[in-house]
Amino acid sequence: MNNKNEALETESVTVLMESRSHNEQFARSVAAMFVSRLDPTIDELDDVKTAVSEAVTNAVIHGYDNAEGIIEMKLTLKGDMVTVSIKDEGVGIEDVEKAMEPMYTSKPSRERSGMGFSFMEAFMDSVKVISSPGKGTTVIMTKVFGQPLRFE
Amino acid sequence: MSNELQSETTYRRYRDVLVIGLPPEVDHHSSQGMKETAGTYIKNGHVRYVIFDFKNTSFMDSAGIGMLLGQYKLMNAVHGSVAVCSVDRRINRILDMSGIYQIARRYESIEEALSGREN
Repeated sequence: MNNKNEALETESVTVLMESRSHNEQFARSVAAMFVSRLDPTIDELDDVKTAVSEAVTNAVIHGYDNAEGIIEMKLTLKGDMVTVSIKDEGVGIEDVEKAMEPMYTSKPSRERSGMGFSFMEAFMDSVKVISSPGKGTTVIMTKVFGQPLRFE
Repeated sequence: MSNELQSETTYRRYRDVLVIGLPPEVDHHSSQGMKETAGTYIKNGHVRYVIFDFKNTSFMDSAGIGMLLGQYKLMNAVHGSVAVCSVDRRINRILDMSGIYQIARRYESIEEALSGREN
């Protein structure tokens, strides 16, 4: 907590991975390892793991529709804040607002809860989605660690 | 039952009850095979009660919720029911947030889930 907000150093890690379902676990494990240097609580660690898992799963299922592709995960640390960016170059989202509605799913015939974005929003402090059809989607999420407990 | 940590999904059927022992992490990847395998047990075994045992599970995301909803739909179609047991605090939070307790009862153990069965 020394020199907080003063001359904060930024450090980051970028991981490129193939769009495969087993990389969902890989991505969230890497993210957990990366944020562990902030000495997070178990809940904070789990929050990040869940959010990363949701975003990478979206890239695998929706972005690339289970076909080949590359997912880029960039993790950035600045002071107590972590920024996670998950990027795919898949189909993109036509209506981001609609995609982020709770319970909405573009693939209702399959077993989908439609809660992916809701979980990201619940577990991170901010979630931003940049997407354009045919070009891909980037989800940028931030979380400040060491916050007092919030009761919702 | 052994106390060894189970890394794979296990399926055990007693009469019309199917107990699904979930893996340590329930996500899109680990849920993929469950739908089919559980579906086969349910159809071939005339299953009317599915118990999801979270004893070995410490992580679940919304894909796991999707899987639970899918099994609930299968059970609901044959007037069966689903239950969850041995849920830790984090999993409980996920289940609660997603409204799973509106469709599945929570028990402390498999034994309680068996004796507390309502249908």
